[in-house]
Amino acid sequence: MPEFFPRFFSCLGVPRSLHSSYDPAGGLAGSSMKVPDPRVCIAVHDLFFRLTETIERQPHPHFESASRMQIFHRSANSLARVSIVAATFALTGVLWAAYRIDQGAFITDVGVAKDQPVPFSHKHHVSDDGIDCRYCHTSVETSAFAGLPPTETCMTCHSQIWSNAAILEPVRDSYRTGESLAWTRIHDLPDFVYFNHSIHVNKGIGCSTCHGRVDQMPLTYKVNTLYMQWCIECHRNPESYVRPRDQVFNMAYQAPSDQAQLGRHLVAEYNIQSLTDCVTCHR
Amino acid sequence: MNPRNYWRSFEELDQSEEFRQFAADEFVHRIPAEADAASRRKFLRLMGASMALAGATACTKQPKETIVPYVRQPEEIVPGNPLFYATTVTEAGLGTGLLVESHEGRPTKIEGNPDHPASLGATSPQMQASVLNLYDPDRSQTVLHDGIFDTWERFTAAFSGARDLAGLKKGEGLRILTGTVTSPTLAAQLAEFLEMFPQAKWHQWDPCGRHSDYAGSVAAFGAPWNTIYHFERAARIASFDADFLDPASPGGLRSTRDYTGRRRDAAQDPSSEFPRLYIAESTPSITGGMAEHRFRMRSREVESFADKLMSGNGDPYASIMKDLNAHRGESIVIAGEYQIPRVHALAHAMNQALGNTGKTVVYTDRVEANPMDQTASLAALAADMRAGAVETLLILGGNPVYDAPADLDFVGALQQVKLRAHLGLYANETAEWCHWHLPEAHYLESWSDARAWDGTASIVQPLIAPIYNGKTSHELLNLLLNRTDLSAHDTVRGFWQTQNKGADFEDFWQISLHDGVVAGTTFPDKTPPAANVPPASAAQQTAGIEIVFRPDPAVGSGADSNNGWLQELPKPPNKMTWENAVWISQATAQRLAIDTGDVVELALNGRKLQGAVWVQAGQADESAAIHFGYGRKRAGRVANGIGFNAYSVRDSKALWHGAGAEVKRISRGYSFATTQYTQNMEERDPFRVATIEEFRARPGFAQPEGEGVPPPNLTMFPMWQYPKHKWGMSIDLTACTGCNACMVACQAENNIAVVGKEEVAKGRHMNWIRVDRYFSGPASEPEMYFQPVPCMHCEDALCELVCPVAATVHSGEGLNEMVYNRCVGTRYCSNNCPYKVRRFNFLLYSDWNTQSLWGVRNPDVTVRSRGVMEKCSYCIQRINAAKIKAEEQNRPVRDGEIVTACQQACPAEAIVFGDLNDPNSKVARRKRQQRDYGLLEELNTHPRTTYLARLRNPNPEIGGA
Repeated sequence: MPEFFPRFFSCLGVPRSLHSSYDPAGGLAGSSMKVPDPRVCIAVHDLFFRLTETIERQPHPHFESASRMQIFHRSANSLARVSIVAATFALTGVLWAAYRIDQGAFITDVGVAKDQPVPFSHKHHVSDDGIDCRYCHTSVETSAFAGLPPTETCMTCHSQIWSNAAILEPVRDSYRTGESLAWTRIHDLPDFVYFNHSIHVNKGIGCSTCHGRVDQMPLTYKVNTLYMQWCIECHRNPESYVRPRDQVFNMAYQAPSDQAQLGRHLVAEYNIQSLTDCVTCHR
Repeated sequence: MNPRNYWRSFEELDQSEEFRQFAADEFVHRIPAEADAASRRKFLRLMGASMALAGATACTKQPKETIVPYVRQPEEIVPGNPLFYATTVTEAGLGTGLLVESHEGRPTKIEGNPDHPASLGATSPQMQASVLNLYDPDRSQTVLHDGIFDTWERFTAAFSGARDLAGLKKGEGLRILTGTVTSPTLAAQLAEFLEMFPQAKWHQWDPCGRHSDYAGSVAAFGAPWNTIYHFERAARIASFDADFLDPASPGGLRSTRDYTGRRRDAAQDPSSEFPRLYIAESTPSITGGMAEHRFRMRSREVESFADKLMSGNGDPYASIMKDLNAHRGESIVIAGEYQIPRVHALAHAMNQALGNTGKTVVYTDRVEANPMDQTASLAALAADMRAGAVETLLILGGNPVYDAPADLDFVGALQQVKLRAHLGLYANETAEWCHWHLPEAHYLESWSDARAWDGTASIVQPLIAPIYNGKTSHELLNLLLNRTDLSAHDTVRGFWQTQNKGADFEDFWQISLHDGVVAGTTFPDKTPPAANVPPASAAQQTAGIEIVFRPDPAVGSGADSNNGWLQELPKPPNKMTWENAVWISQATAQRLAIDTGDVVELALNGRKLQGAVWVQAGQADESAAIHFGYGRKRAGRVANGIGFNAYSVRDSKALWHGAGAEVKRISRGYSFATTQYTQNMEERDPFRVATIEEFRARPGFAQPEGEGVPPPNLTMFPMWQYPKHKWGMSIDLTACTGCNACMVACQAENNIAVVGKEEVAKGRHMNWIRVDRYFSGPASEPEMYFQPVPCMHCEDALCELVCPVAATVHSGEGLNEMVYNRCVGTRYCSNNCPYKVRRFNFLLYSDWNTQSLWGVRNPDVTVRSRGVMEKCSYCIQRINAAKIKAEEQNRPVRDGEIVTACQQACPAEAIVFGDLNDPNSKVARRKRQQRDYGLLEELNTHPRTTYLARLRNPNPEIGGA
């Protein structure tokens, strides 16, 4: 591929300024590029010439004088056409790549577990031990912020079990010194977005709808991009995502086959509004 | 519509060509490019280089953020939900109850305590701004010994030695200087101190305290009395230079509530008598703006005005006296702090003669502990210091080196003292001249207590541990009393334990803390003896110009000058920011051939200062007003070196006005930064006013009529429906005094940046709500009106039509939304806004670097960056919070549940916000009043913010009203 372009351009006619440094024996002076086979050059040249021939044979009378003193080599026409086609493909490619990168884990961190002071496993604590979300995330029903457990909450159990585990040393250290643990944020909204947990939970949006099966994550990662497009999808169609209030903290909840009907019913019952005003989240 | 001409400056009144050009610009463009730090050329040059970088930075990932939970979470804290604590702020010693919002232990916003009599929920601009001082990076952060860092322990060691030495001489040579003290605990400590050290002395000095009020009551009654005025009961008020609506004056918030409350009620209820206010004053105050009849005169002429009024002869005195006599027991005569004691005695005598005593004017004991003539007290201290009689001086708060009267030469005297220690929030001018300086705890970090202007005691409760290990006066007194281990908390609690007469102290204490008032501590009314009026003062010097001293309307006496919110707050009568000036009248300016922007040298009693002149409409002729609070040298980065120090020509014998000054010009061309002369709505009729008779005769006077007024709901399309909520605001101009409390409240609530004088001069101030001031009538005797202007949230908003990126759009509840993250900064919206309420971040105004200032930010509002438009959101964060709360409780939002920041602060209850879909809501009921009108309604914008027109009640017997 890297060799294609010099070959390609040389077969279309190398600009005169380059001809002077053209060395038939070894290629471009000072470069390691190989000179293409002259036969290939001619063949490609002919192909493009024929493609453009029909148009150029009959110069418009108005341009007659101009065509006599032609500035560009005839091949320039072909070059122009190819460039346009190529540029379109290239631009599409770049946009596609940018989109993929933008949606991909590199930018969104979807599926990426981050370093934490303690490799806390939701899977162990939720699935194995059966601890409810709200045991640690105490303010999820009353505040915008779901709440992160104070060290004291960890120590309710870990002063008794695994009390000597090396892996829990940062927790014990925090409890001893009064210095907080600094957890890395997984779900990090931009500062101009104001999300409120309590209203979503109270209106029947389950934890797993946004956070995925946290109960099956040994290390926590996010499963959704948290892009506005993703938020708006639910804000426009809450009936597709809402679940009964008593199922909000059920991590294994599966939407029933009649979600469309159930959703409509719950939206009416819970008085759920489809809020798509900007100031719902931005202020 | 009544034909009135409104003007804002003399240039506008004259309609000069220069003014027309100036007014045509939305932003001031005639600033030379070289004066502009980021000129267009420079910007383009820089932009070329930074374009590539800008493109690259847009692709960066979000930075890593951490969540830091508590180690042991306090029980009452729910992260994300603010808590409110009751505490007390003191101004010149007098307490006002507050409720302070705290986010995870970080105080962010001050609100008034509705249960406290001095506040009733309102706050002054200074109170609102006081939270910024807490986080001020220039606050004193460490103990200083001879200007070098030292420790509290070493200070206590050094000072204990001096105390013990003084103790051997029964305290001789030991002096304490405080401000006005109303704190019962501190008073008890000081009493104990004076008992322990009988030869020691306690001096007091407050540069803007209640000097004349004290001396006036002594002159009238032979003993100090405290006067309380009930403006809600008064139909007629005569004010001798009393600026009782100034929210910083004693009981000022309550006076405003009472006075404007009566006006609001009377506007609706014809059976209630609309109050009428007469005022004689020298320099325009907001009280003067509310007056029906304002008599413009030099301060020293107010005495003869009062005398003539008392005699009741001549014009207009006979008419006023007749009016007052017709309302016996229902009128108030009030003398201001800026008048001499004799005028106060006259007012007391007139109230007694009018039968007002015990009805509209009641008397109690003085609320100050150990009330005294503070000027004499400070003079005595200075004399003793100079005589070498003072060995140890402890200055508890205050800044006498800066604010003592100039004739006392306090600095010179201070240097004769062997050991000087200063406790202060800032290492200020006084700290510079003291051996020891101790950082003081801010009131939001302190345990203390205070009495309000009516005697009601309340506890000062801290919201945060002292950030810089500051100490309180209580702790310093404990050091003197040799009880160093007793904390301020234990001292205050211990004092109230001795006061509690009920059964359970713990209950009493918790209730007092929770409610923010100590029940049953309001002073009972007492009847004073007959007032005695001292003989008229000897003929005064009348030649030369009179100098009138006033605390600055924004920064006050100067104690909290280092506060950007207050510095950028426009002074009500002239909308000047960031400095003080010499205010003189137009006639005097013409006589002296000087003009606004001339720098003059002002000489009074041989002392001189230099300041720039502002020709002020409404200022008395041959009178110059200068304001305290400026000319600071060691205030901090915000206030250092701006304006001039008016204390430098103040004399202890004439605290508030001095005669015989000379004014001479020394240069020209000084420029001020004012706010109302840019961004205007010229050739329109924004303010509407009528007398009460006109209103009763034609209740719809405020409604537009005639040509060019579109019929209501003129549109090609069907009117948009707002089925759920329909938010709206009503502002009652009959109540609004123009005190600016709303502006600072908005700034605190919405993280509004401070831009500095240069940017204000370019019309780039950021306040979301501004208070416009209009003059009406002749240039010599203008009426002054105020009009708060937030975003109108037009239903057909012109800004929305022109935004190319839909960054400003309409919500389903009729809010005009501003979406910062969409805004690309074209400024088309601002250009198209007829109300000029949009504010653009031309530069990075928000301080993102000073870490201590992060604490003051409201976490519920985005901190805006450069290149983004912003404007009033109707406090959308409060709307959303209330809606979420209501939804969670499965009920509709109650009327009055959503209170905008401006509404909450307003002492006049002029602003009401609510749901227009609810016909019984307060705002809907207000908008049904006939005085309701919209600003620039003829543009068919359908503003959601509307006004209730101003009503006046002039005396028909007095001409020219």
